[in-house]
Amino acid sequence: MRSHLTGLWFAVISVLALACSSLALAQAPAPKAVKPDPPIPSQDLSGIWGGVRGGPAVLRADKIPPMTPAAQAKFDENTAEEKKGLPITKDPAFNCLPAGVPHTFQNGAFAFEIVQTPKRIFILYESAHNWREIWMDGRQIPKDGDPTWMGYSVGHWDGNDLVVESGNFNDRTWLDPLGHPHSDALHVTERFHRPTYSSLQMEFKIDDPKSYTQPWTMKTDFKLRPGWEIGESFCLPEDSDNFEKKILQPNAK
Amino acid sequence: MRRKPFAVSLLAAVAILFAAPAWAHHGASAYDLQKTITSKATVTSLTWTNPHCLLNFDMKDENGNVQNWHVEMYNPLYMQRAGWTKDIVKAGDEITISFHPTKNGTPNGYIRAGDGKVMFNGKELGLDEQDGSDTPDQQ
Repeated sequence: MRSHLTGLWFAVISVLALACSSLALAQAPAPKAVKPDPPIPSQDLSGIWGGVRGGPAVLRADKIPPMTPAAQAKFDENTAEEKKGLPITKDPAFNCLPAGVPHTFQNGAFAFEIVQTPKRIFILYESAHNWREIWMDGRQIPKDGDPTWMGYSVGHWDGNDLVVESGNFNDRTWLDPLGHPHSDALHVTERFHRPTYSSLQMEFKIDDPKSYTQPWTMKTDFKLRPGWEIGESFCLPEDSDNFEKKILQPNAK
Repeated sequence: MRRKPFAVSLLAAVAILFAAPAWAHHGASAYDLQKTITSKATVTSLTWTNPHCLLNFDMKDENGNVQNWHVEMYNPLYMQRAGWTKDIVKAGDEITISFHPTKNGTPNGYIRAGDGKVMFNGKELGLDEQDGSDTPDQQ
């Protein structure tokens, strides 16, 4: 009998202790409210995307394969200033020429907007007010098409990822601001992956057998910026020239 | 006692984490990313053009000689999103600035989000882009 009573008291005390601790938890200050990320929309990348941490996007490459002799010679020429301890000024994009792909995603700290229509996706780049058209109607990149600065692009959805194939480039742009050249054989495969509602991970597979001994990949990231508007930002040769004379190479002749 | 107006400090290695090898149109190799100058300065002008805005100011060197410096910032759209306007500072305004100088000693430098700082009228002029109004997508 006594053992039964002891057991009952133990149960009552346990329940009371549990209730008190629950009450204490309920009265504890609530954790800082985090606005929940909306669900990731299906096959929709519409919106304005900008740099991730208040800085420009940077095209990263884990490993760049050896270049062909022709490409190596171009790279050495493109980066000759840097070897003398000077900033690079020969980047075509810095000199107000179209930046090309993927360089256009790192042409300064600029945002871009993705606009989707049933058969085409447009990328509107704030930088230089440039834009690309990605055909989503199943067509192929035209064979022997004219070389272009921004390439001819066709795309398809792989699940929720947008995959874009681009070709028909000229050889006048750099792949990045670091001087990596490409030829007119360049083929770029872009993968736009949206891991969360607000983030975009981009991969660029560079396939250019005239310039690199094997394909390689560059990456960058962007953040959705719903409160922004695309601004006007043109590159003016005289501004770039002034900047070069005043800042980049003030002692150059 | 005359106050030393010019202070040079070496940054901790953590600052290098913020240093993108090519942070914009051109590489940052001409700048000494491990050196930061923090000093009072008098604004001479703010250049509000691409490819980079320039903050131009007079600053005394260690010997008290005044030199005109040009410090590059981000492009105008970026600076707007960081809260700046083309008139936010004017000639004659007194500021305190922290920036990276060039390696070769020319009176140029650059300032970036993360380890750069501009103080004006007791307030910090930010260098990080802000999200802006929390309006829904334009679509």
